[in-house]
Amino acid sequence: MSKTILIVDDSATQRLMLKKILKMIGLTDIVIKEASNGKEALEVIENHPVSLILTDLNMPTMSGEELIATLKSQASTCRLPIIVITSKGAENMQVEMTEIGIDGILMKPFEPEQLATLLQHLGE
Amino acid sequence: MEVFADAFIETFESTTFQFLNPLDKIPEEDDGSGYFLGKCDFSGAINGSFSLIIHDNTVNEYLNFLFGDEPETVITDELKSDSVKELANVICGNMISKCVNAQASDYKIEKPQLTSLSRFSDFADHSLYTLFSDSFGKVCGFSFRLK
Repeated sequence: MSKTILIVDDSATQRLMLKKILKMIGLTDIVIKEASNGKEALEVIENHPVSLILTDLNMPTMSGEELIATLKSQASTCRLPIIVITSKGAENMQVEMTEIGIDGILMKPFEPEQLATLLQHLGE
Repeated sequence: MEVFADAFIETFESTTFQFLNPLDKIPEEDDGSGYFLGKCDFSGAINGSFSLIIHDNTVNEYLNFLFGDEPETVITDELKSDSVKELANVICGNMISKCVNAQASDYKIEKPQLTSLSRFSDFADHSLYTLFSDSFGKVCGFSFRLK
């Protein structure tokens, strides 16, 4: 069964770009699901097994931080790998994001190879 | 101001794959196809706003470059608006990160607001912008103001 990657971003442009980048780095045998905020993401996860989340932080309705906190508080989702993709200073956030249990952080704009490297570390 | 211009150029070029050349005067030309203004306010440990001016043709070229090889992706007005807002958001975040001494968790970038104007001179405060000519000879620019 193909793995499912969930892209969470309120920007349609960013979701399209991430889908293209995943293809570019060779992840073609995957299912991609999309959500435009944390609340939608939780609904997707409830109805579909997800193996990785790529999420923005600054989103309306439910932010990426709130989504991560919710996932980490639930036994069924606390081990789900999460990569944060943000337009805020990723260097400054590395420590605090690692503390709350995310598996990687990228600052927009980023090179496809940076995402490929993170995914390799996660065994994806 | 140079540090802000450098951060703007670096992020704009690496995001859109276009090159910028500084403009030292407000352009007289207008082909009537219009401009977008994407504005982000930020607040918290630092307060201010960032605005991006970009030409409609440049946005079309940017999206064609990104998605032109993907027939399933239709470039709609909605996608164009979204891309300008996202571009403004990304450049704003990078400029704060590179130019202002603030921890990322100590400020918030608000959702970008978009305005469309038909002529460059319609921007009431255009004289406050740092301007460039992009790869298509169109004008783009930014203002970055701290309160």
